[in-house]
Amino acid sequence: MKLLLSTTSQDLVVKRVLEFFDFPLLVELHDGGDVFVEKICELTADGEVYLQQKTSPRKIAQFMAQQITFNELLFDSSGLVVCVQRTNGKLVEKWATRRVDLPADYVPDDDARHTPSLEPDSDRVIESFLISDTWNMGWLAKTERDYGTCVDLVIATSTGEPLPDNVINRSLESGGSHALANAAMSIAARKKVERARTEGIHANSPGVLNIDSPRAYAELVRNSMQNIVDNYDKFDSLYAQIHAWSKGKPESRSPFPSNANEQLSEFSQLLHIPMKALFRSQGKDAQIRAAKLLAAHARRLKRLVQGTHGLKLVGFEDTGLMGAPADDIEY
Amino acid sequence: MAGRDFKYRSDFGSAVKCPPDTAKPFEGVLYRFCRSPITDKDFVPQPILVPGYSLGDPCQRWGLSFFSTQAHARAKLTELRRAHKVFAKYIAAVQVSLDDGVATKPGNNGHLTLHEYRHVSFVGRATIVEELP
Repeated sequence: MKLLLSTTSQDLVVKRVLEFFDFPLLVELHDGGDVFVEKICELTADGEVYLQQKTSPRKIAQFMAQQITFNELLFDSSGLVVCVQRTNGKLVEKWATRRVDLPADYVPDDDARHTPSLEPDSDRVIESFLISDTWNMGWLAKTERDYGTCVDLVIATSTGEPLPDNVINRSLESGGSHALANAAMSIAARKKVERARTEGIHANSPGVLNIDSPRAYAELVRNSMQNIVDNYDKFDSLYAQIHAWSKGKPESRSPFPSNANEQLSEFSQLLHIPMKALFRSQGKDAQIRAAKLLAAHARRLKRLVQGTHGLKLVGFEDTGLMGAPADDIEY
Repeated sequence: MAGRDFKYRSDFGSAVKCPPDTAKPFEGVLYRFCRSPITDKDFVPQPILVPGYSLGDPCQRWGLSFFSTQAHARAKLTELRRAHKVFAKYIAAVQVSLDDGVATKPGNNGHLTLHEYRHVSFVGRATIVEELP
């Protein structure tokens, strides 16, 4: 069965290449608010033939995280699919057909999933947060802020160069959390790195929040989140110890420990933050300032891992992470 | 490299340093995916093979993909064909000489890009050495 479709409408606009080797193999296309994927299937004397399927940003995010197969991305329950032929870049024919009528070579193996090594070289990456069925704009904003601040701190400390005095000192005056957010943002901006920015909110239920991020720093944030999942007991214990002697006002703190430096060193390694970037001087006060900044960063990471704000980073949906929600931990 | 013209020089665009300085003349056997029988179409770069999208590195896309070993080519083709059978299941060995062009250093997966000099043709020198199951 081959049902010819009109080719008079405007061709779709390429939004992103998802897989590439020698030429684009799988691309994301947009047409107004509609999202499609297109997979190259055949090179003929007359041009190329592609499979085209309407999809959703959430499904693409799940595909890129290898959570669904190629065929789950390309085919829906209708069993119908659209084929497109292009010659010299021009759309020349478009038809609907049944999956069962497709040439066998058009259809991926049943268990084939996304191959990360086929993602095109790029210094940017889209990090996708799956939105739960019940959501509100406040959750989106909190998730964006937490994630953005985590990426900013990684950028700000990436060279190991100590953070400026005023930033580190503010962690004593106004608490690590606020100091961290402000400092990270201003320093990351100065480093001429394009910071993480929201690429799109596709809130149709269930939806997805896409944040376009600098790849190298996004990977460090992801790795530190994974460290928290893989070493939760250690994370929890170090956080509790460090927070106890650095929190709030001096009178509320537990006694300063003799091994504060060792605790900070271990915690900063777990979180992929170079410890030397947190110190401009030596001594107890400097250690307390560094501890406040690290603890604030740790709380944000833990909220992202737990999906405290109703949004979960793809790949961290079911971490089974125990312990109190980060929001309940004393600031 | 001086005095040698590249086959797609006019397509590189003046803003692009292409081929990169890291690409050097190469002599030896390289491996490439191909169809059976091998034709000119097995040795054309992306913008000619798939003119539909002008995407990818503006220099690299005018080069030809090769692998430094047959094992590397087999590994990549096996991986690709699970979802992308647009790649045929054949691997060709090609004897490349210093007069054919310049090649980038192979990456960890053995992949390299070769920029051909003008008038070079690999068709008569390529032999199918493996057909994947």
